[in-house]
Amino acid sequence: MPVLPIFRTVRRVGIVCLLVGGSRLSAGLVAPAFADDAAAKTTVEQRVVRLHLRGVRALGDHIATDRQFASGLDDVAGKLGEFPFSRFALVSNEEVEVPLYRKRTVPFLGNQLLTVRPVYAKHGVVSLWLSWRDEKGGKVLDTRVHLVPGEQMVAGTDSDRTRHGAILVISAR
Amino acid sequence: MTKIIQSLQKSCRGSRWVGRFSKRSCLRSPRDLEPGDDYPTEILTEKEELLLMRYCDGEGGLFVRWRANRLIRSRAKAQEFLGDMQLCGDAVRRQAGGMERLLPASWSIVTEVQRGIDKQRWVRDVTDRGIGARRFSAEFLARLGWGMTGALTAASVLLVMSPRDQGGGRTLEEAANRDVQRDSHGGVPVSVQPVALDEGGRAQVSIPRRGVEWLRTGGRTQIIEIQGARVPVMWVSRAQRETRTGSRAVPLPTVSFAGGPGGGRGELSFRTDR
Repeated sequence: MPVLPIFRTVRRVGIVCLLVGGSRLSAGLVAPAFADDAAAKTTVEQRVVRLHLRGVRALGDHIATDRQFASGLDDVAGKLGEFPFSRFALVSNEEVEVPLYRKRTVPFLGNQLLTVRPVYAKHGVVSLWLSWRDEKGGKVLDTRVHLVPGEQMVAGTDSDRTRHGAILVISAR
Repeated sequence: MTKIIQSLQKSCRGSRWVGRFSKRSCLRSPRDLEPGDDYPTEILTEKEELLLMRYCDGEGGLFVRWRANRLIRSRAKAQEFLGDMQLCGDAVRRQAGGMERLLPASWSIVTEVQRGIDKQRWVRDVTDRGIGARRFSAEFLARLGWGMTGALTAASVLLVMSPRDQGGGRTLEEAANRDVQRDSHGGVPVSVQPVALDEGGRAQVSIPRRGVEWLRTGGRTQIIEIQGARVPVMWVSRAQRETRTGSRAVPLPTVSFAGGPGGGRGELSFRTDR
């Protein structure tokens, strides 16, 4: 039985595997240092994206010129003012931490469900997949957006049954 | 010849066949003495017998012949042993064809000796073939090992030099995006085609979509572009869809946007695949 050549082959394969594994390991250890933005570095190193979710109930007639915003909505008043409602009440306000590449479903505005999944965090931009479904499970919004930390994404919908508007304000921290 | 004699010596030890060739049993050695036998005053040792056998068979070199001649000259027992050996050899050669008739009891032994010789040859042949196969196998494995080493090295180089991304690079992004799209739609979605319509229904405004990768909604979607904002405000009007299924249609709320060419305002609608 030719044992020696087999040992040589196994030794060569082992050396190559060690080289590949070492290079990959070193690349993985060094790579977080390449993140050039503080926010991206934080999210990448921690592998967690912090999201600020706010659920807003919109009421009133859009013809009214005097608009009322609840406290906590001052930073998005300009965007909310584009919607055809006059009163905006903050119903839910919470922060969630979602690991990168992980999916998390958060209930908001009653029985509506918001599923978020951070796709990547790079160069100060958080790419986020959003799936918003109503109480019946119907699709309201399904999108992928790129958020700069601190910037708010505002999306809303309405319904004939309630005559109210449901607005989602989401931002990445 | 030596091997034949040795085999005969081992097989015929103490048998009557030996006595037929020699009354003094030319093949007997000191180790063949049994209790009660008279130890001969002059007897050859085993080494001396082997030396004489090799001399008789013509084996060995000059040194063997010199030692055998000296032994023969010095000792009469050696001459006698050599004479017996020559007689034995002549008898074997002469009676090789008719040994079965002459020596029916020992023929099987000779046959076994011959078989042994054949077996040794066979074993040698097989060993030679095995050595050849081993050489071939070793060469083959060595080549295979070098080939595998080269392939693994090339693969590792490609793997290390391939575009990687830590914490959300292109590769992971694409993979995650595919995963997300598979989760959300069960298929690859069609990207949103942003179209701003003027009064005549012609496309007028191209909307920057840097904040929105793709979009699917459950109703008529309106995008409100805010100047300076990456992500536009999105409004999904589901009331209109529900009303359209009813008896009367309700006009859409007009949504204004800013940031189009010339900073104009107008109605903006997106086509979405539903």
